[in-house]
Amino acid sequence: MKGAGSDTCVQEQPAVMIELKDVVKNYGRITAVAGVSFQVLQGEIFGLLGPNGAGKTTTIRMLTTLTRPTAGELYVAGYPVATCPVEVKKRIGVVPQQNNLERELTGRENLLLHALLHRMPRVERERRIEELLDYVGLSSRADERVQHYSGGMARRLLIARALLHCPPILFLDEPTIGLDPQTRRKIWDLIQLMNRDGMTVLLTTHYIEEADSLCHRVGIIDHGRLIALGTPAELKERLGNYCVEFLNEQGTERHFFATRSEAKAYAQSKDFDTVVRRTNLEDVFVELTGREARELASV
Amino acid sequence: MKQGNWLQSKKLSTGEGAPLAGGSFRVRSPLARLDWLPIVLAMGMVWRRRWWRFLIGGLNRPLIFLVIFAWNLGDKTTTATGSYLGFLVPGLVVMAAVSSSYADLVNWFTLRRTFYRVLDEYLLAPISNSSLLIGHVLGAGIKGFLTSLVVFLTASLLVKGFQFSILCFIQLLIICLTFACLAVAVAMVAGGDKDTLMFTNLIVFPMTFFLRHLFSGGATARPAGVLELGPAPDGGNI
Repeated sequence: MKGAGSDTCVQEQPAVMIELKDVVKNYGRITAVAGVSFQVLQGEIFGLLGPNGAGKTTTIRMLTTLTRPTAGELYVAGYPVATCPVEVKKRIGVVPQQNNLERELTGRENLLLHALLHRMPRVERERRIEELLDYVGLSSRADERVQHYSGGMARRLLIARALLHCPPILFLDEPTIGLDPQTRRKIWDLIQLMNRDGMTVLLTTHYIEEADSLCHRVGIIDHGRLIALGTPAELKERLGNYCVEFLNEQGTERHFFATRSEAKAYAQSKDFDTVVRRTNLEDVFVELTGREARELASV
Repeated sequence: MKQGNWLQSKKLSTGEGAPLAGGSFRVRSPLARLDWLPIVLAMGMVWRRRWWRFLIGGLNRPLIFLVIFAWNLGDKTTTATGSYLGFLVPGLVVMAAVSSSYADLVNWFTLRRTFYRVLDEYLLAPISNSSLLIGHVLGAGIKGFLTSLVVFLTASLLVKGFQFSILCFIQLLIICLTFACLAVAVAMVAGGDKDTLMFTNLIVFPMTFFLRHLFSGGATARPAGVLELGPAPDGGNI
């Protein structure tokens, strides 16, 4: 990789599509990201998990050139973000957390605007717009103004817009937040389809189920630090594949064991009701990030 | 395709420009040299859809002034030369230019930056920051210029004999672009609508009055009301 201070935009190591090296972001005295390093490989779906305010969105904003890091190096598609932002922008699609479509324009016009901004040739953009509207199921509503769209429709249009210029890397910031379960599952299917077509995906979420079912690897971020990194299976295994759960005066207590027999033996040693089950990613998340609600804890 | 079936097709074509082909399109269209043009077009698309709203917003104050003065002076067929209404019209044209270029854009831009986050879409486009600013300034400037032209044409129905020189229209365009620049600058640094309001009240609102003096106070006394460029020779007021 070239150093962040390099002036030339030379692409290296295309297999590593996203790389962060000791990235720090301070907002005044508040540290949003405190030395995060990880890599995302080509064709991966990588999930960045974390509680509210953990630094997920800040990390995505730095990778997508919207926010400058205080320190550290970021590379996207082999290009240093600091010195080659235009090259990076050509190769990324971004689905933001918030609907930032032009509400006064129709769905089709929003896509047209994006195509113009990305300088797509006329024939190509017309074909691609029709194709993507069909892909996300908005062909019949394409000429309605976006302000009349439901949350799910707007989210699908955001995804279509992000895919319009055929980026090899897609960033999704909380792609299913505020959506009903049906729409959420459709978005998951869509992400998997895109990945099947060869796209590298980095998504942030605090829906554990989403990360568990979608992501090849996840990074858990808390207080701006990456506290765990691996496949969902690896992370669960580190904690123990089986969980014994019971309720006492302090609340729900969980204990983790490598094997079912160990877990069963422990459960039988208790005089009250216990549940033995497989460890899930939520257990990993809660164990690593703590059980206190962040909004309450920060008050 | 109907709602509910939307996931059933689907494999996107992966021809030239497809994900693993490198992502970017190699375009040699003239548009590639005009990065700001899509921004102007986007503003045009929004304004075209709600043209009446923006037009009413821009014409509102100048027309109220015109109607009140025309009504009170009781002479609806007054001429540009030597009449008070003729003296008033250039100021109203500038007022329309300023309010349409500045006031509309500053609110629109601030909301889009801080609340709707629409600006992120432009920031994520592979265009330079200068193109982004040029696009917004040109879009708002042109809109202000068109609005002020409408005010001028409307005023011409009430006041006969105006002869605006080409230089005057260039000056008007420069005023529109200057205030659009100011609007973008304010909107970029403002934390919210309260900041923009403060800046507007403290800086821009007084400036609109001073700008009126760019039109010579003696202009109305000249034959056929031809306007001149230059600083105000006196403290001529409405």
